Order: sequence, then structure tokens, then C-alpha cells
Amino acid sequence: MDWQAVWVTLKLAALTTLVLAVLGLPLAWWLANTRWRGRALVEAVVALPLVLPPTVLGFYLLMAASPRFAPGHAVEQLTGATLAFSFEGILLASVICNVPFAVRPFAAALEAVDRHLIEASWCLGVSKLRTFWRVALPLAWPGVLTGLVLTFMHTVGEFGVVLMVGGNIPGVTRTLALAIYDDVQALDYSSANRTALVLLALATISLAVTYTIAQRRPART
Amino acid sequence: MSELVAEFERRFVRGPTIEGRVRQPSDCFSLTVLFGPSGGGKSTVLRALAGLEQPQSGTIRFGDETWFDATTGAFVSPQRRGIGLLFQDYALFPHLSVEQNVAYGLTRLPQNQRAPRVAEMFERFELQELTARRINEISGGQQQRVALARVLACRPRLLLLDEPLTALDQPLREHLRGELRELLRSLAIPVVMVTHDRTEAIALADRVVVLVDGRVRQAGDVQDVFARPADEVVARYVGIESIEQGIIVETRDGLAAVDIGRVRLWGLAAGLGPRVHVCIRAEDVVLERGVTSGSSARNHLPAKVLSVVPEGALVRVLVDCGFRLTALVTRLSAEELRLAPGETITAVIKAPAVHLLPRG
Repeated sequence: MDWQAVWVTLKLAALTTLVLAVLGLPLAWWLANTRWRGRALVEAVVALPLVLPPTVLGFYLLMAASPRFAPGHAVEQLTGATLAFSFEGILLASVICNVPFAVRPFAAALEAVDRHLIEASWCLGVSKLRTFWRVALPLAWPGVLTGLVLTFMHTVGEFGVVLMVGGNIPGVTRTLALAIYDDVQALDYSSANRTALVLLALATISLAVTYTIAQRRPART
Repeated sequence: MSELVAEFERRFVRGPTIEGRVRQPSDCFSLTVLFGPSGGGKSTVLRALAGLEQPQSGTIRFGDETWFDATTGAFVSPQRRGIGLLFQDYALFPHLSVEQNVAYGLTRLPQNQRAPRVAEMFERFELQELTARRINEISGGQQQRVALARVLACRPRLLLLDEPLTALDQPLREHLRGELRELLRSLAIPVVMVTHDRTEAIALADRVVVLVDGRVRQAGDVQDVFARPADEVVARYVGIESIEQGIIVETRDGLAAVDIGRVRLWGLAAGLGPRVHVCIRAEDVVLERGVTSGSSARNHLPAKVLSVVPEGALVRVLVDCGFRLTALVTRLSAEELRLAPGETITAVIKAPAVHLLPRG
């Protein structure tokens, strides 16, 4: 087992999930409530990583991260570092890749919360933000949990975009998915098998637990 | 006098336009019923008063506050209107206990005042045994009480009720109708209520606004609207009904003797207090020439014809029999009886057609 890769993978997955919880929940709440016509466009952009080959995304991110172009240049000016082939780079890439895996379950769960409950809360004098915390989020919790677990597990398994943006630097950007690829390239099938089995078991268990929890607490009465 | 005055239009894109018109005192009890068929726009008007819908034109004023003004763009959020809205489905929070539901809106109250306020509501609505229960563990009638307690705990300045009794079954509904009026009166705040139930409207309302297809077809005192519908559309929904204030003077053999002024009527006793509304539907009134004998009907009232108005195959006849009574008879009968203003006739009403409703 490549423990360095385990550490990089867990760090990447945990941070990606955290970032998407912070950014994805407000976006999902907005999507669940807005009647704005441009909503469809926003939803399309959110879903884009589902159909786009990870290499395409990775390629553009790599280009954008390059100091030769404006975004990468700005980052270099500000932090003195480049995003390409760095942990921050694959974190950004993995956040973008995982937007649909977080935002779509969040939005579906928040949309399923009875509108009357939200409105009842407003009419009782409770602000929109507090209503979100006290009513919407607790009732949408199973769906939100599903989104968080999907994001985490999908980050653990992400391959293409991490390879494109991060290269394959041990201890920095080499994740377990990349380690398996390296093992196979080196004909070390038993090592590849061990890592693959761990990932398979982890994915199965986490999804089983999530769906059990989601089933036990229905979001509506 | 401080008033709630609302006149507005809510236009839906590719949908109907709903007109709202409500006017009543804002500092004492009075109850306006928004009445009409389902889909007529009643709930939209209520939601606009609550601030959950924003109209495209008009104004909503409460006392000296402007809650909405289309010309200046003024709009006060539902949080800041100090209203209480009771949803038809009660909208109780399923993830909270009964106690947490009732305490939910008390966030602006200092901590040490919350528990006494909740206790006060629990006592008033007899919820003490339900404190820790979940919403799905209590009955429909209990849910209604919790919902009312939750709304009233916040001490609203205006109470909005959306079909408050519809979700309950019939016996409970009739029982609660009387209690509801008493409760609302004790709050001393204006109430706007949506209902499609005519009995509920008559029993509870001071004023009625009839909404059909998004338009206000008639607005006025409950007696006026139900006894003198402005047009045929209103008449179709409200029915034509004579409503008078009566006093039950005697109960015998399951019948109640009711005095309306100096006229005595017999209706079915329903275990009510002495003060009642007496409702008689126009189609239940039979008109006869001369003094009749040998009829099973309990009520024979000598009357003078005031007006005769043809309405399609029917004729609406207004007579004075000590109070104003509307009868709906066929055109043929009207011709045979040679009904004309000034003629003397007898109005006949069976006891079961004399509906008695409690009056506060």
C-alpha cells in the first residue's frame, strides 16, 4: 500500500467535500428557489462535468493555470506559486469536477422540502438564512448527506483530471487511483489488486450506509 | 380609524390575474371572509397580504404602515409584517416536537420570556400532554391547535386563515366552528379567512369578499352578499339566502322556536345558545295564495311582495313577512300566482329549511 497516496487521496477528498459543502449548498438553495429564466443555463453548467471528458476539463484547467495566461498569471502574482502540478491545482480541479455530484443531490433534496414549511417559517418572523438552517437543511439532510458522500467517493476515484492537472508527483498529487495505474504499468498486479480492493470495499460500504440513512429519515411527512 | 386597506392585482405570467380588495379595521376584531370556488384566487389574495406574493399593481396598507405600493416599489417582507398565517395543511415542522413547533417563532423574544409564552399557549389550546410528541404522532384536530398555538405565540397583528377547518372531518368541524369564532373574537385583531364553505362563511364572517375567476364580484356585509347577490355568477356560488338575526325562545320536540323581531319561526333545534343566525335558502321558500291549511310545513307567514325579478327560468321574489325574505320560484308559478309588487301572499317554509347557526 502506498501510504503517501492514501494521505493525498483522503486530504483531497475531504477538502473537496468541505469546499463543495460551503459553496454548493448556497448554490443549490438558490437553484431550488429561483424562478429566474437563466436558471436552466446555470443548471447546464453545473451538470457539464458529468458529460465532459475529464481530460478536456483537465486540459483547459492546465492551460488556465499556466502563468502564460491571465488566470494563472494572476495566481502567480498573488501567491508566487503556480496551480499546475500542485496539490492546490488538483483540489481546484476536483472541486470543479465534483460540482454536479454535490449540487444536484443538494438541490433535489432542498426542492423536495415542502414550500409551505419555508413560508410558514418566514411568516413566523424567522429570516431566510435562519429558515435555511432550521427547516430546509434538517429536512433535506438525507439528500445532502448523499451529495457529500458521492462527492467524497468520486474524488477518491477521480483519475483523468488529476493526472492532467497534477501530473503524478508522489506525496503531492499522486492519488490512489493513479497509484493503481502506476502499479499496473509496472506489472505489479498484486499491489494494484490490494489498492483496488480497498477502494471497492470503501465505495460499497459508504454508499450502503448513506442509502440506509437516507431511507430511514424521510424528508417529508 | 386605523384600517387594513388592500387593493391590488397579482398577474401571473401566462396565467390568471387575481384581484384583491380588503378593507377592515386594523386595531380590533373583525373577520373578512374571502369566499368563492376553488381556483378563484382566494389563497393568492391571502398570500399577498402575508407578503408571500408580490402584486404587480396597487397598495396594501396596515394602519399607518405601507406594506406594499407598486408605484414606489415599497415592499415589506413577511418577516416584518407581524402577521400570523395559518396554512390549510397547517405546515407544521415534521422534524420538530410539538413544543419546538410552538416555540419556533419566538426568536426575537428574550430567552426568559419564551418558556412562559409557550406554557401559556399550551394551556390555552390544551396541548400539555403532547409537548414531546412529533407532528406525525398527533391527530388532525390536535395539529390544528398546534398550528394556531404556533401562530398566536408570536402575537400577530393580523391573522390570516387559509381554509382553517377544511382538513378536519365533519363533526369536529362543526364543533370547532363555534369555538373558532369565540377564540378569534378574544384576540381583538383583524382576521382575513379563506373558505369555500358557505356555512363557515355565514357563521364566522362580518364581511364577505366573493372572488370568482380572480375577480372581486361582490364585497359587503355577510347578510347583504348572501341575501342579495350582485349578479347571477355570485348567486350561483353563494346561493340566495335570507339571513336574519334571531333569538331562540323555546325548544320543544326537537324543534326550536326562533323570534326574528315579532315573527316566530320553527326550525330544527341544534343545541345552540339563544343568539342565532337564521338562514333560509330562496329555493326552500314556497309561495301560496290565500291562507293555507292542512300542510305539513311548520311555518306559514303572511307576506307582501316587494319585487319580482326574472332570472332565466326562475323568478326571484322579494317579500316582506316581518323581515325580508327571498323566494326563488319558477316563471310558470309566478304567472299562475300573478305575483306583482304589493300583492299579499303566504310564504311557506318547512322547519328543516330554517337553518340555525350560532351568532357571537
